[in-house]
Amino acid sequence: MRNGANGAAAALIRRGEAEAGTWRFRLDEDGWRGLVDALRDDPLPFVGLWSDGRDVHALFLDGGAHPLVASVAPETGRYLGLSSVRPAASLPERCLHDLWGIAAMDARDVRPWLDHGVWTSTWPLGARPGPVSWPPDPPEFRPVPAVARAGGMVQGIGPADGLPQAPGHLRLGLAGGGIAGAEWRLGYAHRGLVARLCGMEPAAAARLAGRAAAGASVAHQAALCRAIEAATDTAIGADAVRCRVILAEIERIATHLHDLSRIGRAAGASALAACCERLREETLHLCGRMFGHRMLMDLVVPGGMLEGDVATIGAVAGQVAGRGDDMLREIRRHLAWPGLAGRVRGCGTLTEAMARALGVGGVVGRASAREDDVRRLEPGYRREWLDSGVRGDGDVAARIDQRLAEIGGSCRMLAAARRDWVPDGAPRSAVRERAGEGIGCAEGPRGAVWYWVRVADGAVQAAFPRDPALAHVAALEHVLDGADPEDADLIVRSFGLSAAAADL
Amino acid sequence: MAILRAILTAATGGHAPARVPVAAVRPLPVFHIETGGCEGCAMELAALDGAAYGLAATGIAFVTTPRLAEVLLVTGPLTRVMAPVLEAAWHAMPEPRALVAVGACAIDGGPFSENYAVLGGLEGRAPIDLAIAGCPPSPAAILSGLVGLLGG
Repeated sequence: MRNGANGAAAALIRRGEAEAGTWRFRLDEDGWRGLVDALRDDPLPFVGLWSDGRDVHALFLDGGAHPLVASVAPETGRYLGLSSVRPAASLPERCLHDLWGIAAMDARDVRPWLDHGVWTSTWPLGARPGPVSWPPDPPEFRPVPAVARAGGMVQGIGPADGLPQAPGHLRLGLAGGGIAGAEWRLGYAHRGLVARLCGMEPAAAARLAGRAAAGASVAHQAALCRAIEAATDTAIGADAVRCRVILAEIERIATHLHDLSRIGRAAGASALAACCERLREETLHLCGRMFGHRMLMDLVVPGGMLEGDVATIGAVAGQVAGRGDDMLREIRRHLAWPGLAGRVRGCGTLTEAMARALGVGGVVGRASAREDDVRRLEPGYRREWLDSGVRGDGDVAARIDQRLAEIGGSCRMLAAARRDWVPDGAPRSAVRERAGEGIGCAEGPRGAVWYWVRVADGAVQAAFPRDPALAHVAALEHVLDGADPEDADLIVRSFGLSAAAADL
Repeated sequence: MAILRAILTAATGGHAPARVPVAAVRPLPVFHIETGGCEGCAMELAALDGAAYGLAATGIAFVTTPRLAEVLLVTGPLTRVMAPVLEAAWHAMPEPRALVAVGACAIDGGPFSENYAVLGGLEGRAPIDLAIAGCPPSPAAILSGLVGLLGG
């Protein structure tokens, strides 16, 4: 316990009117104001912020184990924002305003984020979508005083830079040989996932969620399925639980290898990159051959797994796990390349305090000494499996090292998951026809993915996805500020930022 | 590229004259734009451009500016924000040029059909010279599609 206010905010939320199980509570305006006040001194971690068109919901993770949602009805289209006490809530507040037209009061930043002014309407998900003015307003960037003062230049990169990645624009102020101010402009890849999920049947929704972010396809599928299963009170079999664990760990290995290869390319360590690319291709090729899908899409469905896959999944797990030691030995050999260590050590440091303030978890958070891993909450994982620990340095070297440790951890998990597994032959149960509300999570390769859903009449009525990428955006702006411009690409790669996952 | 056009027309037009042997004197420059989407196609392109596939040996090279490109390779559904970006890239390319749509999204929108933020696929919006289906297509499928452009 770090201070006396611990638990006060969670208690305030629980004092509200329970609306869904023991995890979502409605607060009145005063209650919400009291919560924002309490959050000033209480470390309760913020996870996500969204609307269902009527209310505003904020998700917190109480004690690192219990999801807790506070809901408030906005008064005349406004609510008291959280960004003054939770900087991590700033981008979600801007998304919420662009999509639903509900404004955060006392917000750190009220500029549009997702909406570039070229949608067919403003506030497309709101109760009353508005007209669009033409031509759209030009983007408003933060001023860069250092460039104005010292003379320098502003460099814009993207959204079409020819690199194989989702579109995004990074604006760097360059002055005195360093980066003086970094700012992202995203929204180019916004596809309206929330609008599409509404009205979908559970199976179709899971298929779509698998295409929210290709690097975390299994995590999105599993998190949505868990939310739907919680909402409809559907129990899934032990085989399905085990299969999801195996697919998630294979995905973690593949995406970590992808991110490591991109880091290697940015650092000029082409042998490391080539090694990771070959190893990743091996894994993906195996998945493509055995499951018919290289990127593990369309494999997780509400109620369990696609039928007939249990033995195959076990076999693939064994094969990937069996390659683990060789894989790591090979990568470590290339990591010893003398130019690399000097390049990545002390580069792009994210302190634990900043990671906490900006809500950065996942592999990046763990490389900054943050013990944040929602696999502890997921069914099918044993606590002793989560043995890859954390790194304290928070630099690019730590993020590389953390990924390597987690690849090793995932291989051990695959071996363990397979060892004591006697398939019960019933991987799938039917989703019950029941109305309800649910929340689900999955630790994706780049951080925690959360889904909230409301289900009725056999279809999703309202939904919200939370991906870790949005937190990476804010953290990168902070880390890039003051860095060497030569290192910018390397630092961005080391976060594994996916603009596709940030925009949704 | 005139040859490329001829081959494409032949491949799509139904006539099948004898293939013209082409010696690749320099690699075919390809500029890639992701116009939205889940990044799956982009990740498969990254794999294709990596060590596991010897792309350089096939006579295809990715370039980082459309001004040097003869092929514009599009992945992802066309979002309304990316439409002018795609258009600018196309107009920056020297002629003759070819438009290649990779993946279900770029072809017809796939899982991301038209809505308030998305226009959909390129089909019916622009003349596509080559469409490579899949969600996402594997690097091998993308490669065999692109190699077809070389006429080899």
